[in-house]
Amino acid sequence: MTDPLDDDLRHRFAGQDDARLSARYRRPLSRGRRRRPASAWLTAAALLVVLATAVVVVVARRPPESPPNPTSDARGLSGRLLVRYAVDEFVRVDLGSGSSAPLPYEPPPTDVFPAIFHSGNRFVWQDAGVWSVDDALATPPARLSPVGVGQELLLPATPGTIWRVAQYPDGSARSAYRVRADSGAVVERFDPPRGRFITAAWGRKLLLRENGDRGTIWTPDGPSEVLADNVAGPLALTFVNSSLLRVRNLDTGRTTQVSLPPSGQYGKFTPRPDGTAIAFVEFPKGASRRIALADMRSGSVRILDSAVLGTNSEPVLAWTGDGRWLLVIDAARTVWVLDPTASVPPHTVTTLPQPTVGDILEAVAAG
Amino acid sequence: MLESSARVRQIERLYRDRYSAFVRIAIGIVRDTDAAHDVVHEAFTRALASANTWREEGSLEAWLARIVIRVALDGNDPATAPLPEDLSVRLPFPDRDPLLATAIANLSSRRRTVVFLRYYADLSVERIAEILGIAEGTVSATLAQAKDELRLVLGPEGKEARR
Repeated sequence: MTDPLDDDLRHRFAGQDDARLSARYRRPLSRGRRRRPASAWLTAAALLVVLATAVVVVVARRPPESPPNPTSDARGLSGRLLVRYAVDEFVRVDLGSGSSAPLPYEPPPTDVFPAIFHSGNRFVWQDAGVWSVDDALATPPARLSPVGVGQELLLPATPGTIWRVAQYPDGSARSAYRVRADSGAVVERFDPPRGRFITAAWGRKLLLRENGDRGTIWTPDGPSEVLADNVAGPLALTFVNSSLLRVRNLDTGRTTQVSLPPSGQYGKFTPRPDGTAIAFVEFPKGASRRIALADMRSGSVRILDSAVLGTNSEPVLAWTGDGRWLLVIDAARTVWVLDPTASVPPHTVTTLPQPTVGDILEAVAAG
Repeated sequence: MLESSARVRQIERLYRDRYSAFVRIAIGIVRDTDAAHDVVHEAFTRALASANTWREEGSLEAWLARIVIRVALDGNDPATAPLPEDLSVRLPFPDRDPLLATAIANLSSRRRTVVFLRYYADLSVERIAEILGIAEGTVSATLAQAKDELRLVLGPEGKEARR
């Protein structure tokens, strides 16, 4: 006989999970497959042939479509935002009109570390596979590949291409490919050196070189030594100590020292696409969280806003593709728009719908 | 004895299948989700580096769990060394369930650890016994005693919360 206290304890302990872990936990790693009779397969195959023929005929006759143009609001804000809840829910937002809609997407039965980014004209993300959708969101997401062995690390490469690196638990890369973001076609393969994971300090698991130097992180494009977030070009962010951040641009070799505010807790480092600044969140104890901007030319830090966030929100930051606006999603799922020049006061675009499960994990914007 | 490559595959499989359980074990000790993920990664790095030291006494999962606990405790002792009596496990988010937090905090160290591994990390009695290096009967008895204590605090209210 089952003890009701067992159920009660499991229920109560389940409440201790964070959204990421809950999402990871609620799906089994493998789903059993039901065996279907041979006749069912034959019927399905026949239907597939008929359907494929019909699709070919329709596609051949249809004139080419141009993607819908994003609208622009009175302040000149335009573009698209892709927001991810927990593991498997996506919401797309037209920044100009503020309209939002869920992205049709059937999640696979397993998940790994999430990471979404914009490459070329595609939004790309990973779970148990690599997915891609055009940034006009005119078509359903396409699965580029299933995850192979170990973990899969996705990184943006050149515009329109991404790196896919298959990882084992020790972080060693067993294979790495540069693939097209629209089709998954392999552009280049290379054999990387060994490395290992370090903290998800920049919202993404990164590789550390085997020599253990925390400041040098191996980049998958060969001999380069560091990659933290190459949206703004390959940047490496290293905490020298609790109040000093070192940012190195690998393309130029330029290093900027940033003296951080004295609270001692920072996160959500989000480089501006042109590489001139990095937005981040300061988490002072007991006080409202503040959104700050580190200038990569001078190393100075400026508080952009201290009113948008409360004391208990875990915000998500994203830059618009042109770097003109910083988007901030707060705990109430409101999308705020901040002007890095502070000439336009913070304003809201929309409030995102309530997710089925979990909190907002990440967001990425396109121009 | 398994070949090294076969053991690495086993470790990798456990990483993929039991990742959440390992993270939960670590969260109870470090009480921070991100830090717990790092602990598990560090533990698996160590496990892979010393995969040939596992003597196949007990399960590989328990051996890995002990490494996770050691890393979470910031220790460098070998995996075969006995774990400390008090693992100092606590609820990561006590504010979410103050009643449970109080009830758990009032348990003895051993009972708290066993309850945590059973109901949060979702480990079997057999696996808990292996991890803690005690007999299965001792784990069952400790669990029963802990539940008797918890029932006094959580009994009626727990049922209310479930309705």
